[in-house]
Amino acid sequence: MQPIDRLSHGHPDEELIQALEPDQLVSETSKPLPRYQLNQIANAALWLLRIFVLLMTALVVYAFVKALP
Amino acid sequence: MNDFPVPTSTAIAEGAVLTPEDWSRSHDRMRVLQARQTSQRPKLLWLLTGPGILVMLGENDGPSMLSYAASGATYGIGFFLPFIVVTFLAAFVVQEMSMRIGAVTHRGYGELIFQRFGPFWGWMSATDLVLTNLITLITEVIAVRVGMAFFGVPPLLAVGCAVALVAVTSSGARYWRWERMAMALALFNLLFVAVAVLSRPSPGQLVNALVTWTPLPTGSFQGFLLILASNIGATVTPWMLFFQQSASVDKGLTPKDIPQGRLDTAIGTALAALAGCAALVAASTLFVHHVDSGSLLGGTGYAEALQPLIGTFGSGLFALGLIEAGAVAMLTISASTAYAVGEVLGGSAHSFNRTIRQAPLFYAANIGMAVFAGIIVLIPGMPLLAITLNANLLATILMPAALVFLLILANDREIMGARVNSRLTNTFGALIALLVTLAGSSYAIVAFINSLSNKAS
Repeated sequence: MQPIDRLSHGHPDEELIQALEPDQLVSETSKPLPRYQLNQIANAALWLLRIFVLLMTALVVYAFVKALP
Repeated sequence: MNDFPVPTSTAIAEGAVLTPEDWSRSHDRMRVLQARQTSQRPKLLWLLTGPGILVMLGENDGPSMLSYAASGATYGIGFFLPFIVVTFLAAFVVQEMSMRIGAVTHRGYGELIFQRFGPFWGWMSATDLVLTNLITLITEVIAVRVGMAFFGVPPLLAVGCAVALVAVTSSGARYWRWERMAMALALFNLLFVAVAVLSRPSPGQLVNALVTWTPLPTGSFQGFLLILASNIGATVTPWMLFFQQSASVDKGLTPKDIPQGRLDTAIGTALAALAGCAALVAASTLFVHHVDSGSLLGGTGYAEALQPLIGTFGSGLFALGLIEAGAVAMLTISASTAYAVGEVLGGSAHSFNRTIRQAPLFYAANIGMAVFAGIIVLIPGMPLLAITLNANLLATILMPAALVFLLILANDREIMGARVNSRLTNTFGALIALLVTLAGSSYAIVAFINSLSNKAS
């Protein structure tokens, strides 16, 4: 992040920058959000989905390679 | 009463840190505020449209248009015409969620997964995206190359033009400028509508197909699954989630803009569905005249095959449409990669409202991916046809994981407040995830079994 300015009262472009919402500033969106608390079942489901996706990808890649001339 | 109210807008406090990105965005937001205060609705819509139209017309890319054309040439305007309309409705449901999450949280999809679910899932999502985007970008360069070959442009020049387009449009250091250039180019997607008109379809057959979903496809089951999964991958893909959410953030959408963002997505859906159906209808002429469509995906196949049936002008428009489809998708898919790379590498600037010096990684990813795809396409002996055929399939297979995270984020009251999904949206979202999973996995299993049996014989 490269801050070039700080907002001060009477800044010539104060009205312009007020067109943004405070939580829209880069300095605000750069602050990380707290972690989502996944329960064990949700976490396991995400892992299962990941394994399933990898397995399906492997099948398609195999069929793709075999179909090459 | 809601436990998680969305914070109301307040003034920016004195002493707030401002970046060049904030200043650029504030110019765009000022125009939006003025249009809203003076109740200029058409102007407000004009200012707030962009990400929705771009994501939908961007997804009508080279392999997608070829996929729709293959559907028409193989099965005619029966089952697949209404099916394409349904896949676009599914795309609307998914993309509306992306836009809404971006407008409420002011953070991209990759950024949210990284922060809310941790680096492991963040990197997984970004890796899936970069992999599919690279393969899809290769197919976009192929589309531009194939389209230009119809007009006699040599491959090196065609690929050079495609890569140069990405570099030139990215050079303005303003999101607004990039978006308007891409949108102007994207409207040429409607060239396919002109091609469809020139193919003189029967209005009665079109209405009959839309209402009855008949005639049903016949022939090889694997062939049907391939087209089915390709059509799904042609309308609902992971890069679209990354792109629309990040572009909505870069544009500066806020919760107040959600109605216009929704309309933007709906307009994009309607235009893209029209162009997609038009490609199918245009190519269905080949089905009517019993032209073997098996070998048409290579070279300038469809444009040349259509020439004796709809004339040189019509086939030229088809080739031009293919160039446009590849070119616009190169812009949007490169952008989605750049946003994702910037977002997962925390602290790295990721906005078209920055200069190349202020966001070197963002622009390096944006232009670098296009250059890499261009180089791959120019390597002699690369299986370009096979890559084109499988690009959409890969997107379909990787989509369920992306959809599940999207649904969790869209129901996350801690970040979305009262703007979480409705029960109806969740029902549709779950159905779409199920449909995509079934289509992708069915094709993967059938193709794998067939490749084993071919090996055995």
